[in-house]
Amino acid sequence: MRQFVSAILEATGHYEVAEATNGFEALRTLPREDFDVVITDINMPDVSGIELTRFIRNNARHRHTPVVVISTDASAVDAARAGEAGASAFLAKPFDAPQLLAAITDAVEVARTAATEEE
Amino acid sequence: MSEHGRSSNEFLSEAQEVIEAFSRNLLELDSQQRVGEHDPDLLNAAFRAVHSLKGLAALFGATQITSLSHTLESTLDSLRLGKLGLTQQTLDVLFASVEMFQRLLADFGDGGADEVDIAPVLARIAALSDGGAAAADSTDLAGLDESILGVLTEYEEHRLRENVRLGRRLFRVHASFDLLAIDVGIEALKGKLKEYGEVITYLPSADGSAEDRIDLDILVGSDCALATIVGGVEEGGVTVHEIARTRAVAAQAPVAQEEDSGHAEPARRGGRAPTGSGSAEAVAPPQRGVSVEAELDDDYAADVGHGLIEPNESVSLRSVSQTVRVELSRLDRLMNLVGELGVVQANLGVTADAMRATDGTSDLLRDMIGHLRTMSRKLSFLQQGLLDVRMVPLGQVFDKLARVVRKLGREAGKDIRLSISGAQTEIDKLIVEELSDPLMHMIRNCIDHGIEPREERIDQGKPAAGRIDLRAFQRGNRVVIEVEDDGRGIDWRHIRDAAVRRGVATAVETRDMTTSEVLDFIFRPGFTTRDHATELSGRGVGMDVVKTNIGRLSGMIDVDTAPGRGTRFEITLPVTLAIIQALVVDSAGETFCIPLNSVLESIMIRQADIVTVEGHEVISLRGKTLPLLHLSRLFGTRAEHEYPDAQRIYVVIIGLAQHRVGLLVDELAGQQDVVIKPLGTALRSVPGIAGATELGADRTVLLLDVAALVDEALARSDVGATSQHPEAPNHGA
Repeated sequence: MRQFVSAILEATGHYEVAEATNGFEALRTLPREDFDVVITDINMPDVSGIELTRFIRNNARHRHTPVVVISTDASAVDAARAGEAGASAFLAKPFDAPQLLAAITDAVEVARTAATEEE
Repeated sequence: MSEHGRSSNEFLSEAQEVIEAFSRNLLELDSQQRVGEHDPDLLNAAFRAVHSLKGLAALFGATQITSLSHTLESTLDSLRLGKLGLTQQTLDVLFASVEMFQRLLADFGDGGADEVDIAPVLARIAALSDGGAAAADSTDLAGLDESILGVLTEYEEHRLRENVRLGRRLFRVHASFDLLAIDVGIEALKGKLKEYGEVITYLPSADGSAEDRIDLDILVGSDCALATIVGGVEEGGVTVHEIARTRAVAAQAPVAQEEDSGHAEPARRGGRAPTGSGSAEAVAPPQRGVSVEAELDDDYAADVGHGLIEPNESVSLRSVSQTVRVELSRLDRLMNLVGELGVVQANLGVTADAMRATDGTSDLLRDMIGHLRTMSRKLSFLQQGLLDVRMVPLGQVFDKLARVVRKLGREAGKDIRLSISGAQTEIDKLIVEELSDPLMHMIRNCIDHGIEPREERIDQGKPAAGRIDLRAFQRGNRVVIEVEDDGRGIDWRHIRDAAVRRGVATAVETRDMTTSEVLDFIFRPGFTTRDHATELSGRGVGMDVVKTNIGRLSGMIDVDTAPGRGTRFEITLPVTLAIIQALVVDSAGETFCIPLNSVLESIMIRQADIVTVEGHEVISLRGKTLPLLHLSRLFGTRAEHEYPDAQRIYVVIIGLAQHRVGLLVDELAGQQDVVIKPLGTALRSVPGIAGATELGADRTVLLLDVAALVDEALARSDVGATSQHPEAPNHGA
């Protein structure tokens, strides 16, 4: 799944993708760059997508980084919590490449506007 | 998706891995469920496996797999959230869905004829949920920080409630890690914490001051007292608090001061450019994204469940992902190339020898011969390296067998413990595929006929639960697989009587046979029918098929049994079939190759040693009779059995399963590694030929099919066994 998301993003030519195989790796990867968007599954062991989202929202540097959360209808409760924690967009499995790209583009656009307004 | 064919292959192998991981989780849960409490992490891992599968299948339009995993995911979600109880019945249904996944995957691989009906399995899964719609968690979580509850996933919240319900204390462990080393640090801490209780979740806290450090709050449920945990996890930067609940009193125990060394750590690494080079920056700053998904940990959890990794062993997540999937056909192509290189090298050797004969003094020639030797050494490394790549652990097939044992055991109403050892023993992927059916058959025999019903076992003073041992290990360049049960064993007298009654052998013949010779009857085609199966304590059903399959893999099978105590089958297999060592022989001017792993020995005899018994030629070898086959007559290359030298005839003794046959040839020309190539359609139906291979000097030679030759010899000696000469031995041993 992770590889497919990466493949779809890289195929557009607009994105460079850094992958992380779990929440801890994601936390480790975050400070390396100013990412334009973070895409995460809700269901991760240890550090879940919700926790990752909250971390990003409360972090001074990454506060404005949009987070797209991939969820399934089996985890409606979790999706709601991710929303409360500050996720920018949801994508329910199954989704196709255009849906993924649309969600990401929207999230990036919204975040950019928000950041500009704040300045 | 473009490149549909290729990506659908990727789907198949990835889906297969996920399903196997799921199956291992279930097997582990099954054995835990029998003894009581099961590990919640395993259920969660099973849930996540199906969750991954669903996403994967949806992407590739595998609709049936998607809908099955969708339904299953909900059920597993209920199970992990405690809304459904885990019972043997539940596990039955879950195992049934593993089988359905396998069928669907096979169907998808065949182009998706969509003939598989998943409705019955879906109905069974749905029926599970009907029964036990337990009330939602209502355990009181008063006293817990709202900011924690808000970010827990539903599952984490459930585990939290479970811990509270079980009366465990809750602890908040605070730790600070260097970001670059977080994987290592967290694994070590996680291992320690698991000794005391359950890690419910990790909450990264965002108020960490330093950019290159991260603060984590870890929520732990445990029966231990605060002081115990404090003592256990004591290390730099870790503090433990007990979370106050209604009764509990808040306590704080700073284990160590928050060390302030964060800034001394190496400075942040320069920005990484995962795909493009630095030049991308010059044109336009590319956007960057980070994509995260839980996937690796499934594998890790599966390995833990499978006993491959000690649960507390600290494992680097990075190393687990260092694998590449390759289609077998690509490896075959490489292997062929290496084989052809071997031929080129042999030809070069011949040329060099010829040059040495004419001009043996040249320095250049000496250099060339030196280089040639180096090349052949490297070539053999290359060959070995390629063979290693094809190796897979036998655990792949053992896992399937574990499911069979469980299923058949339950069907037969017998409690059976399967013990597996040597699952990591490696063997060629192709052999593993071919092993499933024979092993499955043998296991089925163990359960149906070997292991006695519970009452019978208790009467005999045996443990009530039957035991099947599946062992694998490497012995020299072969792999041995043993299947042993502690059932009723095989009574050789019953087999002897049945053999006589069926006319397979006469009473006189069997009188002089050893126990093992009598036991060999169970491998005879058609020796057992359903009626006779019961007489033979049921053993031997289809054992001829097992023997044939093993024989096709150049393997051998032996049986050892003790009435009342059990039976042990031993299968010996070559490690690979891709490249084999062959014995090169000459017969009437033709050259043939015989797989060396089927050759037991070669001896030299004189024409006068051959005796004819009822029209069949045999020799006496160490007191036993060995049937002979003339290679030249078999292929019609020479009408009469005239050997160039009547005092020096070579007999290559080939063995397959428990049969031995002597092949008469003119010369033994040596041994060589050969790559087997399939024959064209014209020769495929010729009996006795397994394939072709190339030797040096551009010679193409035929590889003998040992199984067919042995059958040929046996067919001839069977004629003798039913004839009027009872003193004739019916086969060698």
